[in-house]
Amino acid sequence: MATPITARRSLPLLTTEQISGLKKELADTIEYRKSGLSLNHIIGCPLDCGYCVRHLFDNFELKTPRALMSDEAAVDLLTSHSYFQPHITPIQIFNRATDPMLPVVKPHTFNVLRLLDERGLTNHVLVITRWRVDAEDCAILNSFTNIKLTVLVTHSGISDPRIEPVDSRIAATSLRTLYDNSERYRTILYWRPIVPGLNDSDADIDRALELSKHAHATVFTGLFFRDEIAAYYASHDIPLPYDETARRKIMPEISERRILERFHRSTDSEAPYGALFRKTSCAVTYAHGEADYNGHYGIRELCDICPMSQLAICKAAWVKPDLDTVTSQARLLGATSDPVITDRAVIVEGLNEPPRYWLQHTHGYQVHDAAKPHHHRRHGRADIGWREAKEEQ
Amino acid sequence: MNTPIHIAITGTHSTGKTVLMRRAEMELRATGLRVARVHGLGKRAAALGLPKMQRHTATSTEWVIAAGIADELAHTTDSDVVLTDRAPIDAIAYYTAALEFRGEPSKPSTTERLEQLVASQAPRYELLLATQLDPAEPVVATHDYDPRYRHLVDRHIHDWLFKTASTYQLVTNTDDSRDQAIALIKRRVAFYENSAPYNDPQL
Repeated sequence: MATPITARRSLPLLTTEQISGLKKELADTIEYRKSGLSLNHIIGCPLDCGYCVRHLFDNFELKTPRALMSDEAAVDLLTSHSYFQPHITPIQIFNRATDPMLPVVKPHTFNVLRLLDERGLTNHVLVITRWRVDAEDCAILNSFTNIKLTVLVTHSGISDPRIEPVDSRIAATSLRTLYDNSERYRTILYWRPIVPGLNDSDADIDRALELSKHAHATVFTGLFFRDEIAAYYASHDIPLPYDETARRKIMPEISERRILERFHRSTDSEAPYGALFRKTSCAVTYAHGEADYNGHYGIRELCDICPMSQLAICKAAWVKPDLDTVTSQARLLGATSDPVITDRAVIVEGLNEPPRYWLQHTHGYQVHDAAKPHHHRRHGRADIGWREAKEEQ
Repeated sequence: MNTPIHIAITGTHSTGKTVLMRRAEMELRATGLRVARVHGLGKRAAALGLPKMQRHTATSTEWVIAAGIADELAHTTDSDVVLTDRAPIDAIAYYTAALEFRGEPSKPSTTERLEQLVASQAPRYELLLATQLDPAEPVVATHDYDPRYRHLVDRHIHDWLFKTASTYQLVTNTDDSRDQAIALIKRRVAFYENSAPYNDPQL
């Protein structure tokens, strides 16, 4: 067996001058995203996935990973962040600018997990990969005793190498390895992005159904089709999947219906769709036997595919927060008016995403911006591909 | 400064060269190596108004060879690995196949000079891969290729490899063969990396 290439190679730290030349969002190591507080002190990825969010950070051309700071400094920054709450705030590692299981990144991923675990933190930690995971990696992932670790494996099944140059067999093998070796961590099939005509044929859905048997839960989601990604498609002569771009993910109604029909198990009244979920946090928390930390239970139409046991857990944990508490917190965070609490969500004005997510994760209750309403059955999704949206216009 | 390791691939069009080299590029970069992939000479030749494919001439062939050499050398200082998507032998094979396609005789002095130019580059490559045309695999519908010319190029490439007793790794149209090629590239680079003097890359 050959000596691994990584044996003599370490990840160089970028200099202050080099960091100052990065787009501001990319140089910001911590970002509060819906699925958690995201730590990204390593940037650069060689995987040329055409739909990657790295397009949004002018990071797509940075192919070889580089570090912005040490792991120790990054973990200190994360745990001292004003929005970080021990044992509450979900954490994501390297989910925006690189893949955490690349050989040159992996030692840092494990190091960060160890540093978090050694602090006795019991927060959810999400690691999303599409690269190789072997049995030795699984042993390390099983070794953490405090953090609630979930490894999500992205698998699109898109066969056009201009969009998906990474061989999908890599992710499929990793998922099976993770599932077979899971003791303490959980693993999830992250089936995305689903794009009509590219990867939603009957054969594609059957393949996802087969893969879902090798995961503790499965999430299916659509495509982020922003202007930057559309421009990349156009510059590489890739046919545009949609006529327009959108802020939220696009998951057309007809694709969802076909997926649900195929996953439906008519004889299983307890879990009629198995462990299939629309939302990442629903799958993560289901896999750990907990209630959804994003309070999606308030958006009841999202729950129509959930296992009955999970519905019971979410129902028991879902409590409308105290209005006075939320009002004082929202004011402190900078809301421009007092919040309103409905049976579905806290409605706020003047708060951007990070403080909204802080409120949401603090209370386990949805927090929505009054200026960006979620439409019925299209929670967190763009209107593109939904008949009701056309009729509403 | 280290000298980059050079790896090249040859093969007629639509035999999976670019996908394979892109995957090799991702695999190597994933280990932290700086990798350059030299490709796209055909488009650049066309942009210059040079004939291509079955219309190739001695001049267009010489330009493709020379431009490829220049592109590879341009990455001497910024890369640990240079992946060449179309080894210089492609150019000579495309030219001689074009002559046969058009039924034109070759001019020995011209062909010999081009062959010498190509042969002079062979020692640069630590590893040469050669794809083989699979007649059962349909050509991508968007590619407007003449199937006879595509077959001729395949034959001329493999004739050249045989004639020059080249050492190469054959890549057939199977996942196993492509996986083996990627594994070989990684092994060869690892061996080269671990035997050459190493300095941290200059950013």
